Amino acid sequence: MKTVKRVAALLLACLFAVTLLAGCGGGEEAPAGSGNAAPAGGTIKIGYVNPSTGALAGNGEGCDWVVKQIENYVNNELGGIDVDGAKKNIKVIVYDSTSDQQTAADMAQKLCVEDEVDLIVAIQTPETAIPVEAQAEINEVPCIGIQAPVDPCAMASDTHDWTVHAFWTIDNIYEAHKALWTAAGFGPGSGAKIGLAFANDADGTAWHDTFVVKLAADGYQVVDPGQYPSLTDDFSNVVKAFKDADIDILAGTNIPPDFSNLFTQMQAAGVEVDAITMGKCCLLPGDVAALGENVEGILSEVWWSPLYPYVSGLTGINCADLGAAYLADNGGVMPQPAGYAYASLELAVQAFQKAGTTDKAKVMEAIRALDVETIVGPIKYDKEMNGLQYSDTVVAGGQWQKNEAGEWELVVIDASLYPELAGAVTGEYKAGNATQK
Amino acid sequence: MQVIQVIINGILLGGIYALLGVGMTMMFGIVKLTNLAHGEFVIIGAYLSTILASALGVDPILTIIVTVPIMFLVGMGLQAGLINRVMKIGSEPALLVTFGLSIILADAMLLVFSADAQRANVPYNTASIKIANGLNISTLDLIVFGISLATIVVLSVFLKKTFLGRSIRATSDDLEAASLMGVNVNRTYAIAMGIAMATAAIAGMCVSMKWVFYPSSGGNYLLTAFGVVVIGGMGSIPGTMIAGLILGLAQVIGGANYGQLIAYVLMVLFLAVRPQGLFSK
Repeated sequence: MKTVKRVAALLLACLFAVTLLAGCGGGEEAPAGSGNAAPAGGTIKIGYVNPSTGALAGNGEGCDWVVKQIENYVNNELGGIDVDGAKKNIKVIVYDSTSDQQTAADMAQKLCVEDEVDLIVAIQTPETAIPVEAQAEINEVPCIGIQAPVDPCAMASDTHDWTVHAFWTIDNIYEAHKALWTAAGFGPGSGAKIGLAFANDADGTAWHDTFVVKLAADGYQVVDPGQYPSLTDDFSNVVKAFKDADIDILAGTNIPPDFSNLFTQMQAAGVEVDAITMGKCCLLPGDVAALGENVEGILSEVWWSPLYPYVSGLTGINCADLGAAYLADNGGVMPQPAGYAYASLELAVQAFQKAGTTDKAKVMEAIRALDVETIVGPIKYDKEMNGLQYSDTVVAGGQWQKNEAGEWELVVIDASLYPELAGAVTGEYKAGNATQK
Repeated sequence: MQVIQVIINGILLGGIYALLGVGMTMMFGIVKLTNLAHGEFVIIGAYLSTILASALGVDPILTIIVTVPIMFLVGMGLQAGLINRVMKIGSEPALLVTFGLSIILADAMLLVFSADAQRANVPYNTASIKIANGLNISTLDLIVFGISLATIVVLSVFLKKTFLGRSIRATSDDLEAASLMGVNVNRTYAIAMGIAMATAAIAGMCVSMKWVFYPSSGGNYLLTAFGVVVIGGMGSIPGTMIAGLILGLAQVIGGANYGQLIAYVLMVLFLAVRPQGLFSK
């Protein structure tokens, strides 16, 4: 008993010491601009739910760095934002969704109710964006939705009073993937057999329903073994359907474990394909590293790259300089989602600048009227789907190839949908380990 | 032919399910502890195997020569130094301690290994053996099944035939009687946890070859282990094997589309109809 008491006392002492040290250090709660004299008017709070851990963590990479850049710029260089007659600093409060939809909803609710944020960002895949957007509606907090396909977010609810969105639609991503199949020699009317691999979540269903219709209309043969729950261990029936049909192309969108498991089981069963286009799971080096040499030749969409021609309307930085700054600070290529993280906070800041107030209704009004340049291209919420006001963003086609340094790189090989991205095209289609029938 | 292929795939998948559950069922049966950190132990085993295999340039299977003794000793230390102490107060605080451990371990792995997807790439992970026309067995699945079966057989023989194994079983059957006969209960519990961790090391090695994993993947494998324990019966090693096979077959028969649903319905049915599981006394 004495030992237990001693251990407990030691633990308490450690806890006390840690608390004391944290207090001395100022802690994480201090705004990034706290080195300067803080403007008198208080702080504008922006909520941000990020998949920092879990299966979607690749999408959440770079969030902290981006938050620091925007906070530094607004609080230190601009000296705050003029709202309600005073200069106010911004504070971005980030919570981890753990890649879980329920946690994302809980964290969004916490931001809206406990932290009383003035605006919330819904970002990084429909798994995170949809629950955050739902909480924004419930709690009547202005919400900037971004970097999740428009369709599942629009269809998730019939009420979008407090939400706008910016990303590509499934119609657009279908066209981007079609351009990649064409590059691989399977254009529309080729009669190529395309095997579909979609999970039965909101994202997978939105893609699936559009792809099935459009593929048939474009003269492709659809091999659809049905959708499945994420984190499925065994794909025997899917693999068998692909093998029996002798598919030419595998198309879909999946989280990394699902695609990796399916792909490995396909290879073990001797199913070979000429082309693979796969959304969501093949965007980042960290996600595809687990595939080893088999990643070579896989095709995927590219929605942002340091090679894109855009300039931030807020900070004036261009994609190349932002990418270089990220590389210098983090030692790696700036991930696509981090580009969108930057754009989301650009939009948030510009909304407050335009509104000149933190009054939620007026901020929402200002967001809806935004017509700005961002690091991911121009954003203007001039389209509507199921009542959701949205802005299209650009998308190009890429392929995983080995660069001269021997590292895997998602090389942009097609920009036919958005010719202004032609400067980012640095390679052409090549057959690889993953795509040699 | 298709039916045979489905049965083969189901049995092979069931092998790794059984291996995932065997450590948990031991802790349930012997220590009467619900070890909520079992999934994280499996993932630690997966990381250890992946790192060692990559650093030494050897097949991940060989890494268990190192990982099993390490995990066994860590398990013993953990039980002796922490869980045994908490268990004096009751099994509920011990359960909460394992819950806390699972969170600490998952976060620690995230800090050390980052959130990137991991997998131990072996040359045979896409190879298969052709038995007949239209009938293939994945080489990796066959190897993983062999490892699972061997682990469970060795464990069964150890518990049945050795003095230490008999003392563990005696502690499981009647704690007081075993104490009166001179069995050191705390030591027995520590050994049981050591064995559970050692099986988690082997399961982790298999997981690292078969599936992509992350620091946060432990919860999925904990759920599978729960399923095995519920169906097989708490503390029953042969039950673990049968339960693994049932879950594996359910998964494959239901296909990717309905496999998980069927597996969970089965779990609920067992809980409702035979809550003690197939083989529990």
